[in-house]
Amino acid sequence: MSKPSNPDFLNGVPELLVLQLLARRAMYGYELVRAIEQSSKQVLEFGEGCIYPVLHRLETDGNLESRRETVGGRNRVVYRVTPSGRKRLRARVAAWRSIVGAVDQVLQGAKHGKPAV
Amino acid sequence: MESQPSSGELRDELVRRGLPRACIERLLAELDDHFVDLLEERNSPMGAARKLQFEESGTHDLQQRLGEPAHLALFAAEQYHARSFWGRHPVVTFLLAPVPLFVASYIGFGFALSALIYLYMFVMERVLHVALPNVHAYPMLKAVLAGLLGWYISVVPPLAAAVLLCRAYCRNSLRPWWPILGCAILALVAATPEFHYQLTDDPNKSFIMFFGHTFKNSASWILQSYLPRFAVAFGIGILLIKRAQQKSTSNDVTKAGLAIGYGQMDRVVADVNNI
Repeated sequence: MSKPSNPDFLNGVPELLVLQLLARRAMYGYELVRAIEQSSKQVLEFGEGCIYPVLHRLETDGNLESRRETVGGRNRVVYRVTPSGRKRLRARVAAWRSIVGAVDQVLQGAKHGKPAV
Repeated sequence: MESQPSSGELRDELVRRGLPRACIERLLAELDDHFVDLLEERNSPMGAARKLQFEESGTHDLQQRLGEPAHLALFAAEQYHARSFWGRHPVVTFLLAPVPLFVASYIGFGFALSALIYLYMFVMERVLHVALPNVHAYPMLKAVLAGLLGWYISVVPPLAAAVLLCRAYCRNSLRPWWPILGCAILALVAATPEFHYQLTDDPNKSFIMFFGHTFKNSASWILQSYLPRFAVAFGIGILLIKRAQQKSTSNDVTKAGLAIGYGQMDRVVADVNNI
């Protein structure tokens, strides 16, 4: 059986993770996949090749830039975040946190609140 | 360099899904690189534990770790076609289209207003049999109507065109300078209308209206009349772009949150922060 391309992973989440990880340091595709796997403790499962269309789209949007560099004796395409990508990341993380906070409040309200009737 | 075993199958799938050749070649080259990395990982002593883990989960095959060619092609095509025609051709959308869009907007809103007025008159006179008030007896009302019509003609069509440009920007997550360029072109044109009206005593006419676009080659006209109007129109465009940016970010993150579950995702973001 093939490794599933988890549709949840493919629905907008990678953009946030890719930008966040690449904001720390420039990485090539394989390195980035390992970093996502490590940081998510394997919660996010996906066909590893799916990372490249995401990287290419982010590059076309101006959020990333790529360059061929020699890393570990091999020629690789290394991606790094542009200033516009950093701005986008900040906006998305802020939006994410506000949503998480709002949902948490609702969940806490549901836990402690009295029923209306 | 060793290439992934299903390279040919993936190429066929990508071609079938209409991706441009350059995109396909680039994706295949990077997948080949990734495949070599997976081979190296498998052959390294450090990879032993990992190999065992994948064998246990039944996903030992490297091609399977990369993803099924059909799934990969589908996802790559989705990412590419997520953009509309307007998003894939920003030069057309934001450089060439603003002026025709502006003209089309004038025509559309002109027809819409005429249709509304005729519909109102038809309903009042033919359906409800109510006599319309004699506007000629109220010069102030005539002046207010003429003023409102002037604002409608000067403001609504360019505003609608700017909203459409921002919508194209928002939906296709393009670089922000594209809508800025589009709104600047719109503002250059939207700052040129000249509107005057004159009330008349003619019982058959409410007012005489002069409307057109002018550009005078005089420094005083440009400084005193054209530039302020351009600045206001461009300022409104920038506000619309800012609004589109906020909306775009909020929509994307909400969708992501709903898709994966907030608790899991927050943990992931926190873990990433700690790397």
